[in-house]
Amino acid sequence: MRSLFLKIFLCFWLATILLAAEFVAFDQWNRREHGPSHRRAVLGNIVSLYGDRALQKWERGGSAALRAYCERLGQTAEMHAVLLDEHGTDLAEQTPPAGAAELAARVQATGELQVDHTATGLLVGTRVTGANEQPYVFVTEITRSPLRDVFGNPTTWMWRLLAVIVTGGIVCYGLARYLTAPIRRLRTAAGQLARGDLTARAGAQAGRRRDEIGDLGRDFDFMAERVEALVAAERRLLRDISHELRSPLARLNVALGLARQNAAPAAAPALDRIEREAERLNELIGQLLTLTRLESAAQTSDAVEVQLGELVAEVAADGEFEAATRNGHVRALCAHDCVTHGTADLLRSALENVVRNAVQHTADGTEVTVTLRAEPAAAPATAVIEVRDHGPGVPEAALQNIFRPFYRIADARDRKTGGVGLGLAITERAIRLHGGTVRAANAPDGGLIVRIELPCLRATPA
Amino acid sequence: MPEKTNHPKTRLLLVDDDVELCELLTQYLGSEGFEVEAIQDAATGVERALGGVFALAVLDVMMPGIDGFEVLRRIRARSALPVLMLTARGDDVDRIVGLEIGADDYLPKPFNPRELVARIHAILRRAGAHPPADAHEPAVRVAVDDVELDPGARVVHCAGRPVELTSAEFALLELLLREAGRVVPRDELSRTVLGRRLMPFDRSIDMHVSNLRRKLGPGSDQAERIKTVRSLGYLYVVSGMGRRDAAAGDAPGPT
Repeated sequence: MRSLFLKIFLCFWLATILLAAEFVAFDQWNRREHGPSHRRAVLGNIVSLYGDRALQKWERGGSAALRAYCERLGQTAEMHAVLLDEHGTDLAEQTPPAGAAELAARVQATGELQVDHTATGLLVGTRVTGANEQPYVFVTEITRSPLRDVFGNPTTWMWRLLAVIVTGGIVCYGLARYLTAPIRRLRTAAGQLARGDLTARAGAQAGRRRDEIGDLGRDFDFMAERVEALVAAERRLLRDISHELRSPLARLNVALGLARQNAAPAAAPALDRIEREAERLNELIGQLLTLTRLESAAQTSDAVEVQLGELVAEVAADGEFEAATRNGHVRALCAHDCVTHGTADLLRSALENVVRNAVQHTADGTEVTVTLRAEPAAAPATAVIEVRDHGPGVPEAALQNIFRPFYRIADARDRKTGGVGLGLAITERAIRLHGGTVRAANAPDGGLIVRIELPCLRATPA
Repeated sequence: MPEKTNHPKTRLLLVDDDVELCELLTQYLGSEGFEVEAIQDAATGVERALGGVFALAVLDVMMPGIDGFEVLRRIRARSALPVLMLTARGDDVDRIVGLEIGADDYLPKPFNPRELVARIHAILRRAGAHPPADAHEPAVRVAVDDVELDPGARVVHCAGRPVELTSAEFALLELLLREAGRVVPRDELSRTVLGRRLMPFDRSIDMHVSNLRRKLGPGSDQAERIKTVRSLGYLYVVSGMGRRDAAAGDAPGPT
């Protein structure tokens, strides 16, 4: 059973029912212990007393006195009583209660006290003996007096048990709700915080209580505040670093422009070189900042649904642009259009770095293919993007290492093979952030295949 | 120093807190034929921008303290002065927000100063401050459905009421209207409107289209005026009334 609410609710409810059932059973056993015979005796004694009195009235005052007595009994004790002779005739000429005649006959027959349960109460008959040894039967119906309960109606304890079950259920439900609702609220807030909403709080509902759960709620809110503050501080720091690093570069570029304006043509190559180095420096700063942002908690932009087909087409088009300078091509083949959850820009950068690498390494005049397909059979459903080039490939031992920051295959930092080795590291981090994986393998007929797998929300055939 | 132009130098306003960069840019742009006034303080920058003496403002949005976008907003609230934003490289939010508020173009820092000059020229050409590249092109008014555009007077009317557009939005709308019913590729839009080829990840055109849509509102039959054609470009939707072109000399009125 997974739900704390259910656990609390059912346990308490069951306990209540068990206790009630125990009480009832004990009560029943108790009654049985003290014997129905004992009860009967008590009941018989009481009814006999009334019966004797009724007979006395009749013997002394006739049917009028008897009738008066019976009426008084009816008013004060709520007993509908009649005195019957051996033939079952009512001596006071009243209407006997239903079933009285039959009961009286039984009393006469057995000579014993008879007790019947009627719809409204008990019908009790007992023999009373007249002055001249005549047998009479005193029959009375008891509806509301405590006498009735002496015998214990079996239906009442069923109603009682039902009442316990219902009230118990309501009370236990309320208890369980009271205990688990703030826990649910805390869980929602924690989830929101983890997903990037740094303003999520457990709120007043959990925090206002004075018990341990209330303390937990307040502690959670405090923690959330700290996290929010830390992340904001880190974001600010990254932004400031970015600004501080770029300002000198901006000035450098303009100064370079000025130098070009005034310099002799002979100086042009050196100035070009300066410009190139400044550009590399700028790219390095940009990539380092991206990498840092990816690693840290400062990267918490809202995730949306991203159409991978569109992304692949865009990156391929841009790659084509670059490849054109070397007579190369970039072709996109989409078997399906897949949708994943994430940040479009990050995914685009990640894919772009791979494609650019491929374009730079692929032999002149060859084609780089970017394919996208869905693998719904995989559990969970995956979207697979593969970038294949016709370059020299990567030594087997280094296939894992190329995704490490600053890793370059050739030790000589050759400009032709481009970059400083951060592009694939950024790709790896970004894809990992999106719950995917990226791997590289050498193609059997030369070249490198980089395979990106991402969770696929849904796929449609292209 | 060679004289670049015969008429008075174009005056530029530069608002950037980096005083050294301002010095360098003033010198560089000076050699390119501009007269530059550099301001480090944002509030003063807004004041000077609204003073009405400048042809264009170059604005740094990363100034500490007051938000560069706030400066842009204040300028835009009272003036159609062309503005070029200097943003942080790789920060898409800056670009998009800036273009939404109404900047004409952006350039990430650090930038190539030659690129800066090229973009300044492009903006100024659009704004009519420079003589157009093809001076012999007649200023033909164009109207499609309920939109009328007059390049000579640089005004646009939509359903009778005038619409305030930045120079980029104006040039974009003009091109779309002249090619109404035809898909205009984004590269062509970028070249004509921004004066540069479409670069990867350059969403400026998309932003300007979005602003245009917002300013013009839905079409006469509640449909979208400018349709996005995925992976191709944009087209201006022509409904029943169709195109009406008029030469500059004709009196305005329904055809």
